[in-house]
Parts: sequence; C-alpha cells; structure tokens
Amino acid sequence: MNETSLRPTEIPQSGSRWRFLLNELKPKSRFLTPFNIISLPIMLLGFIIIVIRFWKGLGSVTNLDQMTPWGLWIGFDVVTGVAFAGGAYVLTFMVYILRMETYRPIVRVTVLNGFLAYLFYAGALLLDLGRPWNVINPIIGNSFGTSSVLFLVAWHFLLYMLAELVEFSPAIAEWLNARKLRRVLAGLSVGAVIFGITLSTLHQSGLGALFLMAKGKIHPLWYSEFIPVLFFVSSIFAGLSMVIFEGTITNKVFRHLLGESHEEQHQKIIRGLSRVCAMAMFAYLFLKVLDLIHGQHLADLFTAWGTWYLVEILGFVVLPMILFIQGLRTDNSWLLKAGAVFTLVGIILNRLNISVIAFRWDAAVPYIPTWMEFVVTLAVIFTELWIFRWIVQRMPVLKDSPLFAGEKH
Amino acid sequence: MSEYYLVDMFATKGPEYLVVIVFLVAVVPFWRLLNSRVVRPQAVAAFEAGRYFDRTHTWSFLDPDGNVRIGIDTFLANIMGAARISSDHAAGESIHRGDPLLTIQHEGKQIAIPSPVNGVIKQSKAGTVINKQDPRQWLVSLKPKQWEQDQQHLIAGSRTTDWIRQETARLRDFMAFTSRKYNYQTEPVTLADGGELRSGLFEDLPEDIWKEFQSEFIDAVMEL
Repeated sequence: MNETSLRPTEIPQSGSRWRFLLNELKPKSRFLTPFNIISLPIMLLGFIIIVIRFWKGLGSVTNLDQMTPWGLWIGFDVVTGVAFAGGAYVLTFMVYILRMETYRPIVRVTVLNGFLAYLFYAGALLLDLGRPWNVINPIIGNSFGTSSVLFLVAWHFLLYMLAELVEFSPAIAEWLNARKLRRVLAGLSVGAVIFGITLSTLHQSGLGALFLMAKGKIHPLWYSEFIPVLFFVSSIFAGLSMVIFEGTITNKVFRHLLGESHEEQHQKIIRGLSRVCAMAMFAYLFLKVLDLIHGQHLADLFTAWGTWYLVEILGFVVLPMILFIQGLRTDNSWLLKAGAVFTLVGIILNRLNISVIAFRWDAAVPYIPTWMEFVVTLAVIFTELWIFRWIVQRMPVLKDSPLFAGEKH
Repeated sequence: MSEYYLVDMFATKGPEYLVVIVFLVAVVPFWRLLNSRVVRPQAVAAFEAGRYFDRTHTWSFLDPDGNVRIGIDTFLANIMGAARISSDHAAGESIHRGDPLLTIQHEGKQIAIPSPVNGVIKQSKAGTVINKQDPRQWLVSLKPKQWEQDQQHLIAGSRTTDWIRQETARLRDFMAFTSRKYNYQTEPVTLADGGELRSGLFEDLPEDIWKEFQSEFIDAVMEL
C-alpha cells in the first residue's frame, strides 16, 4: 500500500478536494498480482460478451430460449447472490437491535459487501431481461404490475440498496472528511437499518415466492409452498457463512489495515456466527423434513433425483451443521471455516437446483449454460471484488474511523 | 355406519405435528450441545498434563529437545483481555528465576511477569496480543540451567485446580480491597459468584490498580 496517500484526517478543507479525489484514483497496491492477472482478462472477455449480448440479443451468447427464459445469470447472480448478501441484514439486526457489540467491527465491511452484492446482482439482472429498459416500469408506474411478486422484488431491491447506501454513507463522509455531512448521515443510520431489515426479510422470501408460479416446472422434491420460508431461513446461514468466509480472506489480504486486537476478535466473531449458523441450519433441516412429509414425496427419494436431493441435504446442510457443532465444541476454527465453505456450496446447489437444474427437469433438451454465461458470471464477481478492494483500501471500512467521528465503527 | 378409520395420519397431518413436536423437544438439547464444554484435542490434553505453573501465573513446558517454553496461564490471559504481551530479551541472554521476563501492556499500563526458571534465552517472540483461546501460546523458549531445582517451586497435576481456586479467591479479595482504596466502581458482574472471572477485567482498570496488582498479586508471591 502506498503510505504517502492522503489519510482522511489530512484532507484540506477546501480547494484541493479534487486533487485528493484524483490521488485516490491511483492504485494503492502492486498492480501485477496473481488476482489481477487472472481477473483482468476474464473481466475484459466478459465485457465483450455483454456488448455482444446487447447488440445481438440473448440467444447469441446464451442457451436460453422461450421455454427456458431464466438461466445461470438469474440462478447464480441474482437468486444465489442475494442469499449470500443476507449477512448484512442479520448482522445489522444483531448489532443495532440486539446490541451485540462483539460484531460491531465487521458491520461496516458486511454492509459494504451487501450493498455491492445487490448493486451488481441487480445489474446482472439487466443482462437477463429481454427488454432491460422495461425494468424501470414498476418504479415509474408505467404498468406497476402490483399483482406480481416481481413488483415486490423490484421495489425491495431498489429500497434496500438505498437503505444499505445510507447505512454505509458515514464511511464515505469520513473518507471525504465531511464532518457535518457525516453527523447527518450517522443520524439516519439506525432508521435505515430498521428499514433495511424489514425489507430484507420480505424480499429474501419474495425471491422464493417467484418460484411458486412454476409449480409444474420444478421437480416435486424442490417445489414447495414453503419456498419463501425456506429461502428466508436459509438466507440467515448463507449470509453468515459468507461473512465467515469473506472475513477469513479479508483477514489475510487486508491484514495491514487491521488493528492489533483484530485476530482475537475475529476468532470470537467466527465462533458466534457459527453458533447462529448451526441453529438456523437445525431449524432449516426440520423445515425440509416437514416439507418432505407434508408433500408426501418420500417415494421420490428413491429415484436418481432423490439421490441428488439427498446429496444437497446430507452433504451440504447436515455435514456443515456437524462441522459447525464440532468446531464450536473443540474450539477449532478450521472446522468452522470448512463448515462455512460447505454451507456456501450447499446454498449454490440449492438455489441452482430450484432455478436451473431441477427447473424443467423433465425437458427433452435440458438447459446447459454456454461458456460465455460462465465468463460473464465470473466477470460480474471479479468486478465487484475490484470495487470492494478499491473502497476498503481507501475508506475507513476495516481501518479505524478518523478521530472526528468520535466512535468506533 | 360406513367404513370406520381409526387413524388417518396424513388426513390429520399427524406426521407434520410429530415433526414439529420433535423439533421443539430437540431445540433445547441442541442449544446445549452447541454451548457444551469444549472438548480438548488429544494434543492439547497431553500438553496440559506436562505443564508446570508458577505462582506468578506463567507456565513452563519442557520440550523433547531439552528447552523450556514459557507462556502465561489462562487465568492471567483471561483477566488481561486484549492486552499485548512481549519479551525483549535477546537470544543468548542469561536469566534468573524472578527476573522480569514478560511485559503485559494495555493503553500505557503495564505489568512485568517474572521468569519461573533459570536459564539462557534461546528464542523470544515479538510482541503479540494475548490469545486466551490458545493455551499453548508461548513467548519465550530457554535452555534451563537447573530445571530439577526450579521444578520444586512449580505447581503441576491435580494441585493446579486447588491453586487456581485459591487464586480466584485472592483476586476477589484484591479487587474488593483496591476498588475501595482507589474509589473505583467495578461492574457487578465481576466475580459475582466468586468463581467466574470477567473476561478482559483489567482492560478498563486504572493504572493505580495495575501497579497494585504488580506489587500485591505478582511480586508478593515471589517471596513465598
């Protein structure tokens, strides 16, 4: 990191603010890193494919058609990504409402992650819309479509992104040394948090509710009238597992920005979050069993699809739950991190099963994404990581707030 | 009377009710399981068995290569919280039992912890944050000069439990005395049942109490 860069507290009050912003645009670390070397070509290729997609249409780069209008971009970027972003609402609830101060040091980075995730996943949604310019219609009233779940999802996405921006905005004000603005924005935070939590609980389940309309298309083992509840409960451990996973990586990559006592706090935070994950998974598991019995689908378990279903449940819900329990009992953080990784894979499987793999499971020609769909998905993730790194290296996200902020974030 | 069904489990949603009941019954044991006592891995248990404790709250462990590793015990680590611990002795330096070996610092306050054994420093670690979750966190490794004699002063095995119990009571008395002396309001959760120590108790205590702790709690037992 370039130590000569201006710190927030050193920004002149006027005149040279533009100079400061220009200075902040310069790279803060070595450019030729393994991450950059891998991600840059993928991002460039992804950008070219996106241009082709908008120029020649969806069919030119994807395997989507009239029978399979939703593919990898919706299934992974939107449906899975939003579940991963669930850590923000769970953590803000724990810190701002339940006053669990242990987790305060990671609130800002989690909210930033959540905000960027929504921003990019909502952006990725545009790629998958046949006529993306119509996305504004539910907002401006050119046919609100209030009878559609998408109306709820659209408004919730928009409002939640604004709420998360407000939650994160004190960090931007601290970076710009805008003291008065920071005071105003900090005053709005708690309201934004409560609003954000309310929105999250509704749209996490709302995304699941989208699939209620596809009863005949989703395999009976995955289709359920409880999908909204299952989506909501699973977003709790999906989001927190992502927080554990990201926190572990952040701890290594941005070690130079972290305080001396961070390692000890980090271990404590991982244990606390793992406990919540295990508890939520326990409830989720019972809901799945209840759903299986209620739908009378036990016989389906003895088919090939049933085996696949059991792989998802036993391998990526029961196993990570056991890893969390054992990690907590033996105080082994590696087991907890392994539990988080298995959980994340399990969530990807579950969401892709519902939206892609077991969706139109009986189709004569199943949908298989093109390599270009994978490249664009990776490009979206890498772009988000670049922006995340740019912000973390400049704003008080991991490092301490300037003195004028008067509080630890 | 037409056909008579005694029970139609699916029509009455009996299985669903049973699953819900099982869930509700299982929640409390599951929560207890999550919070159950940490089971120490075998390696840690073996390590615990070979540790010798000094009354100044350091532990010593004789490695197979003949060197002794030294760290602070979990009693001290727990009450010191997020303090930093360091040793500024260079390799090759001779040290005697009772000489200052480790320094615990937090926001300008500090305590010196004496060496439990005589020896020559082999390796000392740079300053680090106390990790109370890791009972094997060590700071200094030294070549002991008279391990047999030093062992006579140290506590090991079953005697450790009684000693820690006495130390807990001693700390409670110390806190009661110094809080009055320096007119410091301790939180009611501190040592409420005479057994549990509030984690990070010393983080917020004033410098006067740290100094008193040095003289009355650490240095005082060296004379025993």
